[in-house]
Amino acid sequence: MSAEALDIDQGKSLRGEMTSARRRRTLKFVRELADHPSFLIGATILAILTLIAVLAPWIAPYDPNKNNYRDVLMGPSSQFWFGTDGYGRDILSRVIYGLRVSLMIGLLVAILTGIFGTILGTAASYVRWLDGLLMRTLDGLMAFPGVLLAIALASALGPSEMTVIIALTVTYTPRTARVVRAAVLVVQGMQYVEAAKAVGAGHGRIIFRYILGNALSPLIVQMTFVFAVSIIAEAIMSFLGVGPPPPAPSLGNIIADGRTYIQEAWWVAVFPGIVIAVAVLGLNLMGDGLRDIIDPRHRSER
Amino acid sequence: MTMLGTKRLTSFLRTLTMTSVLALAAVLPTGSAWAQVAGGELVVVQGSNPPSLDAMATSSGASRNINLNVYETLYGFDENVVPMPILAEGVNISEDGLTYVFPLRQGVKFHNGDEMKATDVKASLERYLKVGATPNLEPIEKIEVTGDYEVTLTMKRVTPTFLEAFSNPRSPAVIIPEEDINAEAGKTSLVGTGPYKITEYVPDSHVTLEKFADYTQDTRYAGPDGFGGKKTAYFDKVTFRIMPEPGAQVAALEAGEVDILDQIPVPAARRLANDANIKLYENLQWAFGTLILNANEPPTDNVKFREAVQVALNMEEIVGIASEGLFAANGGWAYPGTPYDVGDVGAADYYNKHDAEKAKALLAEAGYNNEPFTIITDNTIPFHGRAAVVIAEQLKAVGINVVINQVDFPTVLNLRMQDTGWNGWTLTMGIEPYLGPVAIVSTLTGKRPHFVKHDPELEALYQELITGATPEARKATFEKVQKRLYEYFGIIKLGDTGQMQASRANIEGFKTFRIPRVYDIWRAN
Repeated sequence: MSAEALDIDQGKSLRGEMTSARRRRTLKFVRELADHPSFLIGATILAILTLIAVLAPWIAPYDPNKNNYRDVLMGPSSQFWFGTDGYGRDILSRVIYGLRVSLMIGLLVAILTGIFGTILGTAASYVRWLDGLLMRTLDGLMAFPGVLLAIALASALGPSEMTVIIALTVTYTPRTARVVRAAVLVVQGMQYVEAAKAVGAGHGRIIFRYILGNALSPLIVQMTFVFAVSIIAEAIMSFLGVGPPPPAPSLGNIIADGRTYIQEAWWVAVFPGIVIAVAVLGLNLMGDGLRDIIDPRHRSER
Repeated sequence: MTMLGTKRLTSFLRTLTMTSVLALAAVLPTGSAWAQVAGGELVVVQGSNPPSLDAMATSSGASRNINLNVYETLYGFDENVVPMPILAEGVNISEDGLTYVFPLRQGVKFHNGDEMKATDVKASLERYLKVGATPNLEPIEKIEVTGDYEVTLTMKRVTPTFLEAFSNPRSPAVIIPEEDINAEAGKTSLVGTGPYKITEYVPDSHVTLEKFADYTQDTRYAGPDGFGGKKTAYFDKVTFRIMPEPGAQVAALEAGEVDILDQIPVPAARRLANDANIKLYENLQWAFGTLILNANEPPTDNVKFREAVQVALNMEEIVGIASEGLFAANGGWAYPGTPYDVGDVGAADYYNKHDAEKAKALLAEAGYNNEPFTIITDNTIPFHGRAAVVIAEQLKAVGINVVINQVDFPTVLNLRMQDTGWNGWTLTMGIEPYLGPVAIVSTLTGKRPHFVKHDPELEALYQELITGATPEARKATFEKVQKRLYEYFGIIKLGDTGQMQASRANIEGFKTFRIPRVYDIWRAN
């Protein structure tokens, strides 16, 4: 066997070992997730809610916007499980469609803040001279209470679903950027990053291959958190009249509709309220579980 | 299910009628003396702040509610909306209709202790011409003091409807002391001649009134009548509390913290109908629900399109839902049974038709091509937003691409002043139908008609209306007006909407009216 052949063989087996190590790690991660009770409960809740939202057109018993003057403010019954509102609309159907709106907004805001937060956070920590400028600007944005900033933006842009998404993305991106920046700062100082630099890897390769992959875990936890607070924030904004305009069945809109007659028709506000609580609980449980498993510090504490 | 809903409503209305009858029986003198009780404090709740306590400078209902317990006018409307003398002894109108001589009541005291004289009246009316919120006094050429207790008005032209305009409570031409003549709008000393005087105003919280001990009663009358008559203040103190949230208002009434709700949501009234601690008062002729169409902006610039909107709508559903069940499906532009009621002239073929086929045919004829139809509305006045939602669903069903732009009421008032950018606007008209045809038509003509683009025919009818010499002539003109409105379709009458008020059961003497009158009511022992 020539020396050359030996080198190739060693390289092959080395690569094979790395792949199988990664596979083992992934398997271990999945097993840990499956063993983690709060993650499991949270994920199940979210899966069910997502399924309901996706299947809305097929499972909602009525058109969520169909008015029916004869059936206004009917209590829960076999015909209307969740009762009807002041327009005679079926609350169950509205809640199902409202879940769709809320989850959609929450998901989009989580993804968008994830993307922008990563860009800004990485830029701030990787390009040192940008750090002060970027982070102080984001601190400025964070000085406003979250929902207040979103409401101000939404009233400036005019009420619509898109407005809510933009407003919440602007509001929650600074927090995500901070988390990413902190994680990247830590990873950046690791020896393997230094090593990559030493062998002449380009910035793109360093950032995407060595840094971001290892800074991902806090970002994911942060995204589930943003997902949950966005659902609440959307409800608050709709309740205050700067969310999706009526008659859009968002959960906050339904609660706002029921506010005037909470004593006469509790079902209008209570059912969407419960759904919001359940969705947020599910997301938080899931986020906690993810953090426990992903974050080594928490893992050792467990 | 539909039967059940109807039955429920009917039985509710029956209970309500009985409650009103009982309430009425309780306040009518029944041979024996009235059991009025003097003293104590009354708390009245309304939803919004009075923008101003300078009565002549604001047309806000929230201000009017308070101000007309504090200030008085020379002439005002009686219970049947006919002008009656209040601070004036009467009026002598010259044959040519150009001179109005108002002799004044003598010995009437202002809250500051001074006596009201002709100089105060002249000053007040001159101030109205500068800061008054309506052009009602515009026909006046000259105001002269012709005696200590006599004022003479000279008119620019003959205006047969002047006394009605002069009595108009919208921005009432109240009499205030001469010293306030140069006060800017909203900066007066808040002194009037009414049975109550203002002692404190904390915005977003309350306005406090105190009984005016030296109030000069108008002994020509037996009791209160409309905005005038013989007024007696029983409560020592009256607080108008501002509570924006209807749910909180109802809770406060149930807890006995407050005595009168200027407006109670109908579902809450329904729940409290059998509550022995609460009295309910219903006023079915409270306001007109309307949908105004912008005749200047496509697609509503096309009269065929506007006609399509008119015939597509199911008014019963719109007003039923928007008013929470307290309404009358009336396509006429006067309340049934009132002097100018001309029935369903013009309306018969168009009102409450919900004729989808005809609407679609008209849309095709109009060449409608799915252009957006933008409705501006607000959530400040719940009727507006709810009506817009129901209208939108009904118009979508005939293929109109409806967009709702819901903002707050002040923003709507700005948006609707733009000539473009909106097509529909939901509005309740409260005071105009109460005042009668001239007030309604004046909002659809002149400098800025609600539907933006002038209709020359309606302008001509307005002139005919205000110069009509007799009520009969004016009614004949109004019939033509109503007919014209159902040809132009610039404003769509949705229906009549009622107002529900409530009080604690021990409040006696309260009668539903354009304003909550806090005099001649008392708390039973």
